Amino acid sequence: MGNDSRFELRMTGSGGQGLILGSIILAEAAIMEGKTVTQSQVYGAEARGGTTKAELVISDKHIAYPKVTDPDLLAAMTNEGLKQYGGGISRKTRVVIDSSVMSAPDSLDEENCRGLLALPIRSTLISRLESELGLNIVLLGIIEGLTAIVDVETLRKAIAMHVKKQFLDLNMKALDLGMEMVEAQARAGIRI
Amino acid sequence: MSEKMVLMQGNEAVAEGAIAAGVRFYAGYPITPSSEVAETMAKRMPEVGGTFIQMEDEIASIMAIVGASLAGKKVLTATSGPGFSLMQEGLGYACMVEAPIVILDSMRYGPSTGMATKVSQMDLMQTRWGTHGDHWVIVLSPSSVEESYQLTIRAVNLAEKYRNPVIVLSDETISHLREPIDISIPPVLVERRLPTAKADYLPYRTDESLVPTVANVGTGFRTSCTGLVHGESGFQTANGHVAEALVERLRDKLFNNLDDIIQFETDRVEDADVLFMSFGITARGVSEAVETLRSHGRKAGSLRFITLFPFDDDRVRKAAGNARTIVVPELNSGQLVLLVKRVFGDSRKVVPMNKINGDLISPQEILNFLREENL
Repeated sequence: MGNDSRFELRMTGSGGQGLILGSIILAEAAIMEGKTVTQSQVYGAEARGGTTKAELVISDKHIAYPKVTDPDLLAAMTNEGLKQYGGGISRKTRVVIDSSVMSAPDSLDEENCRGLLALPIRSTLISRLESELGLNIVLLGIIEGLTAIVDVETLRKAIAMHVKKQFLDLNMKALDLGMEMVEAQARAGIRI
Repeated sequence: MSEKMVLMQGNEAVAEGAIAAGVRFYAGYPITPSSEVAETMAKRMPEVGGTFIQMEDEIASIMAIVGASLAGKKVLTATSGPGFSLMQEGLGYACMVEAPIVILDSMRYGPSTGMATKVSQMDLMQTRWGTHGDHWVIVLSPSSVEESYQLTIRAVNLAEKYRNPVIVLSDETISHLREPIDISIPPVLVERRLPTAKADYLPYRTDESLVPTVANVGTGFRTSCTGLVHGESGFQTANGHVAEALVERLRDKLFNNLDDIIQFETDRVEDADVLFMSFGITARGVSEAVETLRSHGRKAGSLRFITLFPFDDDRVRKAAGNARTIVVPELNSGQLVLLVKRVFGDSRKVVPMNKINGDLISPQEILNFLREENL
Protein backbone atom coordinates (compact mmCIF):
# COMPACT_ATOMS: atom_id res chain seq x y z
CA MET A 1 0.00 0.00 0.00
CA GLY A 2 1.01 3.64 -0.33
CA ASN A 3 3.79 4.81 -2.53
CA ASP A 4 7.50 4.31 -2.82
CA SER A 5 8.41 7.58 -1.16
CA ARG A 6 6.70 6.50 2.05
CA PHE A 7 9.12 5.43 4.79
CA GLU A 8 7.74 3.80 7.91
CA LEU A 9 9.73 3.50 11.13
CA ARG A 10 8.77 1.79 14.35
CA MET A 11 10.97 1.98 17.44
CA THR A 12 10.21 0.01 20.54
CA GLY A 13 11.90 -0.38 23.88
CA SER A 14 11.61 0.73 27.47
CA GLY A 15 10.03 3.97 28.64
CA GLY A 16 12.80 6.46 29.43
CA GLN A 17 15.11 5.43 26.59
CA GLY A 18 13.97 8.48 24.67
CA LEU A 19 12.57 6.67 21.66
CA ILE A 20 9.61 9.05 21.36
CA LEU A 21 11.96 12.03 21.50
CA GLY A 22 14.13 10.27 18.91
CA SER A 23 11.15 9.95 16.58
CA ILE A 24 10.29 13.63 17.09
CA ILE A 25 13.87 14.68 16.29
CA LEU A 26 13.90 12.64 13.09
CA ALA A 27 10.46 14.01 12.22
CA GLU A 28 11.71 17.57 12.59
CA ALA A 29 14.77 16.87 10.48
CA ALA A 30 12.50 15.49 7.74
CA ILE A 31 10.28 18.59 7.93
CA MET A 32 13.36 20.82 7.55
CA GLU A 33 14.02 19.01 4.28
CA GLY A 34 10.52 19.73 3.04
CA LYS A 35 9.10 16.30 3.70
CA THR A 36 5.86 15.57 5.45
CA VAL A 37 5.58 13.36 8.52
CA THR A 38 3.20 11.76 10.99
CA GLN A 39 4.58 10.84 14.39
CA SER A 40 2.73 8.85 17.02
CA GLN A 41 3.38 6.78 20.09
CA VAL A 42 1.81 4.36 22.45
CA TYR A 43 0.28 6.52 25.09
CA GLY A 44 -0.18 5.71 28.73
CA ALA A 45 1.49 4.60 31.91
CA GLU A 46 3.51 2.09 29.84
CA ALA A 47 5.52 4.98 28.46
CA ARG A 48 6.98 5.67 31.89
CA GLY A 49 9.13 2.64 32.58
CA GLY A 50 7.15 -0.01 30.77
CA THR A 51 7.30 -1.08 27.17
CA THR A 52 6.97 1.76 24.73
CA LYS A 53 6.60 2.33 21.01
CA ALA A 54 7.22 5.32 18.77
CA GLU A 55 6.17 5.46 15.13
CA LEU A 56 7.13 7.78 12.32
CA VAL A 57 5.98 7.98 8.72
CA ILE A 58 8.03 10.16 6.35
CA SER A 59 6.91 10.92 2.81
CA ASP A 60 7.36 13.38 -0.05
CA LYS A 61 3.59 13.40 -0.44
CA HIS A 62 0.53 13.91 1.72
CA ILE A 63 0.20 11.12 4.28
CA ALA A 64 -3.36 9.84 4.52
CA TYR A 65 -3.27 6.99 7.00
CA PRO A 66 -0.95 8.25 9.74
CA LYS A 67 0.08 5.01 11.44
CA VAL A 68 2.74 2.47 10.52
CA THR A 69 1.22 -0.53 8.76
CA ASP A 70 4.20 -2.04 6.94
CA PRO A 71 7.43 -0.83 8.53
CA ASP A 72 10.57 -0.29 6.49
CA LEU A 73 12.53 -0.38 9.69
CA LEU A 74 11.77 -1.87 13.09
CA ALA A 75 14.19 -1.06 15.90
CA ALA A 76 13.73 -3.04 19.12
CA MET A 77 15.76 -1.89 22.12
CA THR A 78 14.34 -4.48 24.51
CA ASN A 79 13.14 -8.04 24.19
CA GLU A 80 9.78 -7.08 25.65
CA GLY A 81 9.44 -4.33 23.04
CA LEU A 82 10.07 -6.77 20.22
CA LYS A 83 7.55 -9.21 21.69
CA GLN A 84 4.84 -6.61 22.14
CA TYR A 85 5.30 -4.47 19.04
CA GLY A 86 7.35 -6.66 16.71
CA GLY A 87 4.35 -7.92 14.79
CA GLY A 88 3.29 -6.67 11.40
CA ILE A 89 6.72 -6.88 9.79
CA SER A 90 7.19 -8.07 6.24
CA ARG A 91 9.99 -8.91 3.80
CA LYS A 92 10.51 -5.20 3.29
CA THR A 93 11.29 -4.68 6.99
CA ARG A 94 14.81 -4.25 8.24
CA VAL A 95 15.02 -5.20 11.91
CA VAL A 96 17.58 -3.70 14.28
CA ILE A 97 17.97 -5.12 17.77
CA ASP A 98 20.22 -4.26 20.69
CA SER A 99 22.20 -7.47 21.10
CA SER A 100 23.69 -6.27 24.39
CA VAL A 101 20.33 -6.68 26.12
CA MET A 102 18.62 -9.35 24.03
CA SER A 103 19.46 -12.25 21.78
CA ALA A 104 18.39 -12.44 18.19
CA PRO A 105 15.04 -14.17 18.03
CA ASP A 106 14.87 -17.35 15.97
CA SER A 107 11.61 -16.17 14.48
CA LEU A 108 13.33 -13.56 12.33
CA ASP A 109 15.02 -14.83 9.18
CA GLU A 110 15.27 -14.07 5.48
CA GLU A 111 11.81 -15.49 4.94
CA ASN A 112 9.98 -12.95 7.01
CA CYS A 113 12.11 -9.81 7.05
CA ARG A 114 14.60 -7.99 4.84
CA GLY A 115 17.41 -8.45 7.28
CA LEU A 116 18.28 -8.57 10.93
CA LEU A 117 20.99 -6.31 12.29
CA ALA A 118 21.99 -7.26 15.83
CA LEU A 119 24.23 -4.56 17.32
CA PRO A 120 25.47 -4.21 20.90
CA ILE A 121 24.04 -0.71 21.16
CA ARG A 122 23.79 -0.15 24.89
CA SER A 123 27.11 -1.80 25.80
CA THR A 124 28.96 0.09 23.06
CA LEU A 125 27.43 3.37 24.23
CA ILE A 126 28.61 2.69 27.77
CA SER A 127 32.11 1.56 26.79
CA ARG A 128 32.79 4.23 24.17
CA LEU A 129 31.04 7.29 25.57
CA GLU A 130 30.88 6.29 29.25
CA SER A 131 27.22 7.19 29.23
CA GLU A 132 23.94 5.44 29.71
CA LEU A 133 22.13 8.39 28.14
CA GLY A 134 21.96 8.88 24.43
CA LEU A 135 20.78 5.44 23.37
CA ASN A 136 18.03 7.06 21.30
CA ILE A 137 20.59 9.19 19.46
CA VAL A 138 22.88 6.22 18.80
CA LEU A 139 19.82 4.55 17.33
CA LEU A 140 19.14 7.61 15.16
CA GLY A 141 22.74 7.28 13.94
CA ILE A 142 22.10 3.64 13.08
CA ILE A 143 18.88 4.52 11.24
CA GLU A 144 20.67 7.30 9.39
CA GLY A 145 23.54 4.93 8.54
CA LEU A 146 21.10 2.39 7.15
CA THR A 147 18.74 4.67 5.27
CA ALA A 148 20.25 8.16 4.80
CA ILE A 149 16.65 9.25 5.14
CA VAL A 150 17.74 12.85 5.82
CA ASP A 151 21.02 14.74 5.44
CA VAL A 152 23.27 14.12 8.45
CA GLU A 153 23.73 17.84 8.99
CA THR A 154 19.97 18.34 9.12
CA LEU A 155 19.76 15.61 11.70
CA ARG A 156 22.45 17.35 13.77
CA LYS A 157 20.43 20.56 13.62
CA ALA A 158 17.29 18.78 14.76
CA ILE A 159 19.16 17.14 17.64
CA ALA A 160 20.54 20.52 18.71
CA MET A 161 16.98 21.85 18.91
CA HIS A 162 16.16 19.33 21.63
CA VAL A 163 19.37 18.89 23.59
CA LYS A 164 20.75 21.09 26.35
CA LYS A 165 24.05 22.74 25.46
CA GLN A 166 26.10 20.79 27.98
CA PHE A 167 24.94 17.51 26.44
CA LEU A 168 25.27 18.55 22.80
CA ASP A 169 28.76 17.14 22.36
CA LEU A 170 27.79 13.80 23.89
CA ASN A 171 24.76 13.56 21.60
CA MET A 172 26.74 14.38 18.47
CA LYS A 173 29.22 11.67 19.44
CA ALA A 174 26.31 9.30 20.02
CA LEU A 175 25.02 10.03 16.52
CA ASP A 176 28.48 9.41 15.04
CA LEU A 177 28.76 6.20 17.05
CA GLY A 178 25.53 4.87 15.58
CA MET A 179 26.62 5.63 12.04
CA GLU A 180 30.03 4.06 12.72
CA MET A 181 28.41 0.87 13.96
CA VAL A 182 26.56 0.52 10.67
CA GLU A 183 29.69 1.29 8.63
CA ALA A 184 31.65 -1.31 10.58
CA GLN A 185 29.02 -3.91 9.74
CA ALA A 186 29.14 -2.96 6.07
CA ARG A 187 32.95 -3.16 6.04
CA ALA A 188 32.79 -6.59 7.63
CA GLY A 189 30.74 -7.66 4.64
CA ILE A 190 27.64 -8.34 6.64
CA ARG A 191 24.62 -7.89 4.48
CA ILE A 192 22.47 -5.15 5.91
CA MET B 1 6.93 24.13 2.89
CA SER B 2 9.74 23.67 5.38
CA GLU B 3 10.28 27.22 6.64
CA LYS B 4 6.88 27.86 8.15
CA MET B 5 6.05 24.32 9.13
CA VAL B 6 6.17 23.37 12.78
CA LEU B 7 5.73 19.89 14.23
CA MET B 8 2.78 19.98 16.55
CA GLN B 9 0.62 17.56 18.45
CA GLY B 10 -3.16 17.60 17.87
CA ASN B 11 -3.88 18.87 21.37
CA GLU B 12 -1.29 21.63 21.09
CA ALA B 13 -2.86 22.63 17.78
CA VAL B 14 -6.25 22.99 19.48
CA ALA B 15 -4.71 25.21 22.15
CA GLU B 16 -2.79 27.33 19.62
CA GLY B 17 -5.84 27.55 17.35
CA ALA B 18 -7.91 28.79 20.27
CA ILE B 19 -5.29 31.41 21.13
CA ALA B 20 -5.08 32.53 17.49
CA ALA B 21 -8.88 32.83 17.50
CA GLY B 22 -8.75 35.14 20.52
CA VAL B 23 -9.49 32.74 23.37
CA ARG B 24 -8.24 34.34 26.58
CA PHE B 25 -9.98 32.22 29.21
CA TYR B 26 -9.52 28.51 29.79
CA ALA B 27 -11.01 26.55 32.64
CA GLY B 28 -10.69 22.80 32.73
CA TYR B 29 -10.02 19.58 34.55
CA PRO B 30 -7.30 17.49 32.91
CA ILE B 31 -8.27 14.11 31.50
CA THR B 32 -6.54 11.75 29.09
CA PRO B 33 -6.44 12.13 26.11
CA SER B 34 -7.13 15.88 26.26
CA SER B 35 -4.68 16.88 29.01
CA GLU B 36 -2.09 18.51 26.75
CA VAL B 37 -4.65 21.17 25.89
CA ALA B 38 -4.77 22.18 29.56
CA GLU B 39 -1.00 21.85 29.82
CA THR B 40 -0.45 24.11 26.82
CA MET B 41 -3.06 26.63 27.94
CA ALA B 42 -1.58 26.74 31.47
CA LYS B 43 1.69 27.85 29.92
CA ARG B 44 0.31 30.04 27.15
CA MET B 45 -2.58 31.92 28.79
CA PRO B 46 -0.33 34.03 31.06
CA GLU B 47 1.90 34.77 28.05
CA VAL B 48 -0.99 36.27 26.06
CA GLY B 49 -2.67 38.05 28.97
CA GLY B 50 -5.34 35.41 29.42
CA THR B 51 -6.57 33.39 32.38
CA PHE B 52 -6.08 29.70 33.07
CA ILE B 53 -7.94 28.02 35.90
CA GLN B 54 -7.75 24.38 36.85
CA MET B 55 -11.19 23.70 38.27
CA GLU B 56 -12.25 21.06 40.78
CA ASP B 57 -14.19 19.09 38.17
CA GLU B 58 -15.79 19.28 34.74
CA ILE B 59 -19.11 20.73 35.94
CA ALA B 60 -17.23 23.65 37.46
CA SER B 61 -15.09 23.89 34.32
CA ILE B 62 -17.97 24.39 31.92
CA MET B 63 -19.78 26.76 34.27
CA ALA B 64 -16.59 28.81 34.59
CA ILE B 65 -16.28 29.20 30.83
CA VAL B 66 -19.97 30.06 30.51
CA GLY B 67 -19.47 32.79 33.11
CA ALA B 68 -16.33 34.13 31.47
CA SER B 69 -18.06 34.05 28.10
CA LEU B 70 -20.99 36.08 29.42
CA ALA B 71 -18.42 38.54 30.73
CA GLY B 72 -17.12 38.93 27.18
CA LYS B 73 -14.21 36.53 26.89
CA LYS B 74 -13.66 34.01 24.14
CA VAL B 75 -13.40 30.72 25.99
CA LEU B 76 -12.34 27.08 25.72
CA THR B 77 -12.45 23.94 27.81
CA ALA B 78 -11.18 20.49 26.87
CA THR B 79 -12.19 17.07 28.08
CA SER B 80 -12.89 13.47 27.15
CA GLY B 81 -15.98 11.24 27.44
CA PRO B 82 -16.15 10.89 31.23
CA GLY B 83 -15.68 14.63 31.73
CA PHE B 84 -17.96 15.46 28.81
CA SER B 85 -20.71 13.50 30.57
CA LEU B 86 -20.35 15.79 33.58
CA MET B 87 -20.43 18.85 31.34
CA GLN B 88 -23.82 18.06 29.84
CA GLU B 89 -25.74 20.11 32.38
CA GLY B 90 -23.64 23.17 31.65
CA LEU B 91 -23.85 22.55 27.93
CA GLY B 92 -27.63 22.75 28.04
CA TYR B 93 -27.41 25.90 30.14
CA ALA B 94 -25.03 27.47 27.62
CA CYS B 95 -27.48 26.64 24.80
CA MET B 96 -30.31 28.27 26.75
CA VAL B 97 -28.51 31.47 27.82
CA GLU B 98 -26.80 31.59 24.40
CA ALA B 99 -23.27 31.76 25.74
CA PRO B 100 -20.59 31.38 23.05
CA ILE B 101 -18.41 28.53 24.32
CA VAL B 102 -16.09 25.99 22.70
CA ILE B 103 -15.53 22.50 24.09
CA LEU B 104 -12.94 20.04 22.85
CA ASP B 105 -14.06 16.45 23.39
CA SER B 106 -11.20 14.09 22.61
CA MET B 107 -12.87 10.73 22.35
CA ARG B 108 -11.47 7.76 24.23
CA TYR B 109 -12.94 4.31 24.64
CA GLY B 110 -16.15 4.10 26.69
CA PRO B 111 -18.58 3.73 28.30
CA SER B 112 -17.68 5.15 31.69
CA THR B 113 -13.93 5.50 32.21
CA GLY B 114 -13.47 2.78 29.57
CA MET B 115 -9.90 2.74 28.27
CA ALA B 116 -8.25 6.09 28.87
CA THR B 117 -5.51 5.71 26.28
CA LYS B 118 -7.46 3.99 23.49
CA VAL B 119 -9.20 5.68 20.61
CA SER B 120 -12.90 5.54 19.81
CA GLN B 121 -15.62 7.53 18.08
CA MET B 122 -18.21 6.60 20.66
CA ASP B 123 -19.24 10.14 21.72
CA LEU B 124 -20.79 11.19 18.41
CA MET B 125 -24.39 11.01 19.59
CA GLN B 126 -23.44 12.35 23.01
CA THR B 127 -22.36 15.62 21.39
CA ARG B 128 -25.82 15.91 19.86
CA TRP B 129 -28.10 14.44 22.52
CA GLY B 130 -26.03 14.37 25.70
CA THR B 131 -27.91 17.17 27.38
CA HIS B 132 -31.65 17.06 27.87
CA GLY B 133 -34.34 18.99 26.07
CA ASP B 134 -34.62 20.15 22.49
CA HIS B 135 -31.41 21.97 21.78
CA TRP B 136 -28.95 22.51 18.95
CA VAL B 137 -25.18 22.53 18.94
CA ILE B 138 -22.53 22.82 16.26
CA VAL B 139 -20.11 19.89 16.14
CA LEU B 140 -16.92 20.04 14.06
CA SER B 141 -14.70 17.04 13.39
CA PRO B 142 -10.99 17.41 12.62
CA SER B 143 -9.11 14.57 10.95
CA SER B 144 -5.59 15.96 11.20
CA VAL B 145 -3.39 18.19 13.34
CA GLU B 146 -3.70 21.00 10.78
CA GLU B 147 -7.47 20.73 10.91
CA SER B 148 -7.42 20.63 14.72
CA TYR B 149 -5.89 24.08 14.51
CA GLN B 150 -8.15 25.43 11.77
CA LEU B 151 -11.41 24.00 13.10
CA THR B 152 -10.75 25.30 16.61
CA ILE B 153 -10.46 28.78 15.09
CA ARG B 154 -13.65 28.15 13.16
CA ALA B 155 -15.36 26.84 16.30
CA VAL B 156 -14.56 30.03 18.21
CA ASN B 157 -15.81 32.15 15.30
CA LEU B 158 -19.06 30.19 14.92
CA ALA B 159 -19.67 30.28 18.68
CA GLU B 160 -19.33 34.07 18.70
CA LYS B 161 -21.35 34.58 15.53
CA TYR B 162 -24.34 32.46 16.58
CA ARG B 163 -23.97 32.75 20.36
CA ASN B 164 -24.04 28.98 20.64
CA PRO B 165 -21.90 26.17 22.07
CA VAL B 166 -19.57 24.60 19.51
CA ILE B 167 -17.97 21.22 20.13
CA VAL B 168 -14.72 20.19 18.48
CA LEU B 169 -14.99 16.41 18.38
CA SER B 170 -11.50 14.96 18.20
CA ASP B 171 -10.12 11.62 19.36
CA GLU B 172 -7.17 10.06 21.14
CA THR B 173 -5.23 9.46 17.93
CA ILE B 174 -5.52 12.97 16.51
CA SER B 175 -4.97 14.47 19.97
CA HIS B 176 -1.61 12.72 20.27
CA LEU B 177 -0.55 12.65 16.63
CA ARG B 178 2.26 14.97 15.58
CA GLU B 179 2.21 16.50 12.10
CA PRO B 180 3.79 19.56 10.51
CA ILE B 181 1.43 22.52 10.30
CA ASP B 182 1.60 26.11 9.14
CA ILE B 183 0.34 28.57 11.73
CA SER B 184 1.95 31.65 10.22
CA ILE B 185 -1.19 33.09 8.61
CA PRO B 186 -3.27 35.11 11.07
CA PRO B 187 -6.90 33.97 10.96
CA VAL B 188 -9.96 36.07 10.23
CA LEU B 189 -11.72 36.63 13.55
CA VAL B 190 -15.43 37.01 14.24
CA GLU B 191 -16.59 39.14 17.15
CA ARG B 192 -19.98 38.78 18.79
CA ARG B 193 -22.48 41.57 18.16
CA LEU B 194 -23.16 43.75 21.17
CA PRO B 195 -25.99 46.18 22.01
CA THR B 196 -25.41 49.76 20.99
CA ALA B 197 -27.93 51.68 23.11
CA LYS B 198 -29.05 51.24 26.69
CA ALA B 199 -32.46 52.70 25.95
CA ASP B 200 -35.03 49.94 25.44
CA TYR B 201 -32.32 47.29 25.89
CA LEU B 202 -33.69 43.78 26.03
CA PRO B 203 -30.93 41.15 26.15
CA TYR B 204 -32.77 38.47 24.17
CA ARG B 205 -34.44 40.65 21.57
CA THR B 206 -33.28 39.70 18.08
CA ASP B 207 -33.39 41.01 14.56
CA GLU B 208 -33.77 38.82 11.46
CA SER B 209 -30.46 37.07 12.32
CA LEU B 210 -32.29 35.54 15.31
CA VAL B 211 -29.05 35.98 17.28
CA PRO B 212 -29.53 38.18 20.35
CA THR B 213 -27.17 41.00 21.28
CA VAL B 214 -26.70 40.16 24.95
CA ALA B 215 -24.48 42.71 26.66
CA ASN B 216 -21.30 41.48 28.27
CA VAL B 217 -21.63 41.39 32.05
CA GLY B 218 -20.19 44.47 33.67
CA THR B 219 -20.67 46.85 30.77
CA GLY B 220 -23.52 48.78 32.36
CA PHE B 221 -26.48 46.93 30.89
CA ARG B 222 -29.15 45.25 32.98
CA THR B 223 -29.06 41.63 31.85
CA SER B 224 -30.72 38.55 33.30
CA CYS B 225 -29.54 35.08 32.24
CA THR B 226 -31.42 31.97 33.21
CA GLY B 227 -31.78 28.36 32.14
CA LEU B 228 -35.49 28.75 32.64
CA VAL B 229 -37.58 29.65 29.63
CA HIS B 230 -37.34 33.39 29.19
CA GLY B 231 -38.67 36.11 26.94
CA GLU B 232 -36.74 38.98 25.41
CA SER B 233 -36.22 40.49 28.86
CA GLY B 234 -34.27 37.44 29.98
CA PHE B 235 -36.63 36.85 32.88
CA GLN B 236 -38.37 33.55 33.38
CA THR B 237 -41.82 32.72 32.17
CA ALA B 238 -44.00 29.63 31.91
CA ASN B 239 -45.85 31.04 28.91
CA GLY B 240 -46.11 28.27 26.33
CA HIS B 241 -46.06 30.64 23.37
CA VAL B 242 -42.87 32.29 24.59
CA ALA B 243 -41.34 28.86 25.22
CA GLU B 244 -42.21 27.65 21.73
CA ALA B 245 -40.85 30.80 20.11
CA LEU B 246 -37.62 30.55 22.11
CA VAL B 247 -36.89 26.91 21.28
CA GLU B 248 -37.78 27.50 17.62
CA ARG B 249 -35.44 30.47 17.51
CA LEU B 250 -32.59 28.47 19.07
CA ARG B 251 -33.02 26.01 16.19
CA ASP B 252 -33.61 28.52 13.41
CA LYS B 253 -30.64 30.76 14.24
CA LEU B 254 -28.50 27.82 13.12
CA PHE B 255 -30.75 26.18 10.54
CA ASN B 256 -31.25 29.46 8.63
CA ASN B 257 -27.47 29.48 8.12
CA LEU B 258 -26.60 25.93 7.14
CA ASP B 259 -24.59 27.11 4.12
CA ASP B 260 -22.34 28.98 6.51
CA ILE B 261 -22.06 26.16 9.03
CA ILE B 262 -22.00 22.86 7.14
CA GLN B 263 -18.83 21.62 5.48
CA PHE B 264 -18.04 18.28 3.84
CA GLU B 265 -14.96 17.06 2.05
CA THR B 266 -15.71 14.89 -0.94
CA ASP B 267 -13.35 12.79 -3.03
CA ARG B 268 -14.41 11.37 -6.39
CA VAL B 269 -18.07 11.08 -5.42
CA GLU B 270 -19.37 11.82 -8.94
CA ASP B 271 -18.81 8.44 -10.55
CA ALA B 272 -18.40 6.34 -7.40
CA ASP B 273 -20.30 3.07 -7.14
CA VAL B 274 -19.12 2.55 -3.58
CA LEU B 275 -19.03 5.58 -1.33
CA PHE B 276 -17.54 5.79 2.15
CA MET B 277 -19.07 8.18 4.67
CA SER B 278 -16.89 8.83 7.68
CA PHE B 279 -15.52 11.46 10.02
CA GLY B 280 -12.39 12.23 12.03
CA ILE B 281 -9.46 9.86 12.13
CA THR B 282 -11.38 7.08 10.35
CA ALA B 283 -11.54 9.22 7.21
CA ARG B 284 -7.76 8.97 6.85
CA GLY B 285 -7.86 5.21 6.49
CA VAL B 286 -10.74 5.68 4.05
CA SER B 287 -8.75 8.18 2.03
CA GLU B 288 -5.92 5.71 1.49
CA ALA B 289 -8.34 2.84 0.78
CA VAL B 290 -10.11 4.94 -1.89
CA GLU B 291 -6.74 5.67 -3.49
CA THR B 292 -5.88 1.97 -3.61
CA LEU B 293 -9.32 0.96 -4.90
CA ARG B 294 -9.11 3.58 -7.66
CA SER B 295 -5.65 2.36 -8.64
CA HIS B 296 -7.22 -1.09 -9.08
CA GLY B 297 -9.98 0.33 -11.24
CA ARG B 298 -12.71 0.28 -8.58
CA LYS B 299 -14.89 3.39 -8.57
CA ALA B 300 -14.69 4.33 -4.91
CA GLY B 301 -15.37 7.71 -3.36
CA SER B 302 -15.45 9.40 0.00
CA LEU B 303 -17.59 11.90 1.83
CA ARG B 304 -16.04 13.15 5.05
CA PHE B 305 -18.14 15.11 7.51
CA ILE B 306 -16.24 18.17 8.73
CA THR B 307 -19.42 19.54 10.29
CA LEU B 308 -21.25 16.67 11.99
CA PHE B 309 -24.08 18.75 13.47
CA PRO B 310 -26.26 20.40 12.37
CA PHE B 311 -26.81 17.36 10.13
CA ASP B 312 -28.86 18.26 7.08
CA ASP B 313 -30.34 15.30 5.22
CA ASP B 314 -30.85 17.21 1.95
CA ARG B 315 -27.30 18.41 1.80
CA VAL B 316 -25.96 14.94 2.52
CA ARG B 317 -28.21 13.45 -0.18
CA LYS B 318 -27.01 16.01 -2.73
CA ALA B 319 -23.35 15.56 -1.83
CA ALA B 320 -23.52 11.78 -1.98
CA GLY B 321 -23.73 11.32 -5.76
CA ASN B 322 -25.30 8.13 -7.07
CA ALA B 323 -23.27 5.40 -5.43
CA ARG B 324 -25.37 2.26 -5.02
CA THR B 325 -23.50 1.22 -1.91
CA ILE B 326 -22.60 3.45 1.02
CA VAL B 327 -20.19 2.07 3.62
CA VAL B 328 -20.02 3.82 6.99
CA PRO B 329 -16.83 2.90 8.88
CA GLU B 330 -16.67 4.20 12.45
CA LEU B 331 -15.03 3.34 15.77
CA ASN B 332 -18.25 2.55 17.61
CA SER B 333 -21.13 0.11 17.27
CA GLY B 334 -22.98 2.25 14.73
CA GLN B 335 -23.81 5.90 15.35
CA LEU B 336 -23.12 7.88 12.16
CA VAL B 337 -24.75 5.05 10.22
CA LEU B 338 -28.08 5.82 11.94
CA LEU B 339 -28.06 9.27 10.35
CA VAL B 340 -26.95 7.96 6.96
CA LYS B 341 -29.75 5.39 7.02
CA ARG B 342 -32.19 8.15 7.91
CA VAL B 343 -31.07 10.07 4.81
CA PHE B 344 -31.25 7.20 2.32
CA GLY B 345 -33.87 4.85 3.72
CA ASP B 346 -33.98 1.84 1.41
CA SER B 347 -32.92 3.79 -1.68
CA ARG B 348 -29.27 2.78 -1.27
CA LYS B 349 -27.48 -0.10 0.34
CA VAL B 350 -26.09 1.41 3.55
CA VAL B 351 -23.54 -0.87 5.23
CA PRO B 352 -22.13 -0.26 8.70
CA MET B 353 -18.49 -1.10 9.37
CA ASN B 354 -17.65 -0.97 13.04
CA LYS B 355 -14.55 -1.53 15.12
CA ILE B 356 -14.65 -1.39 18.90
CA ASN B 357 -11.35 -2.80 20.15
CA GLY B 358 -9.57 0.50 20.74
CA ASP B 359 -7.59 0.42 17.48
CA LEU B 360 -8.04 2.34 14.24
CA ILE B 361 -9.61 0.99 11.06
CA SER B 362 -6.67 0.55 8.69
CA PRO B 363 -6.91 0.95 4.90
CA GLN B 364 -6.26 -2.77 4.49
CA GLU B 365 -9.17 -3.61 6.78
CA ILE B 366 -11.46 -1.50 4.60
CA LEU B 367 -10.29 -3.36 1.48
CA ASN B 368 -10.78 -6.70 3.24
CA PHE B 369 -14.25 -5.65 4.39
CA LEU B 370 -15.37 -4.86 0.83
CA ARG B 371 -14.11 -8.24 -0.30
CA GLU B 372 -15.66 -10.20 2.56
CA GLU B 373 -19.01 -8.44 2.24
CA ASN B 374 -19.00 -8.70 -1.57
CA LEU B 375 -19.48 -4.95 -1.88
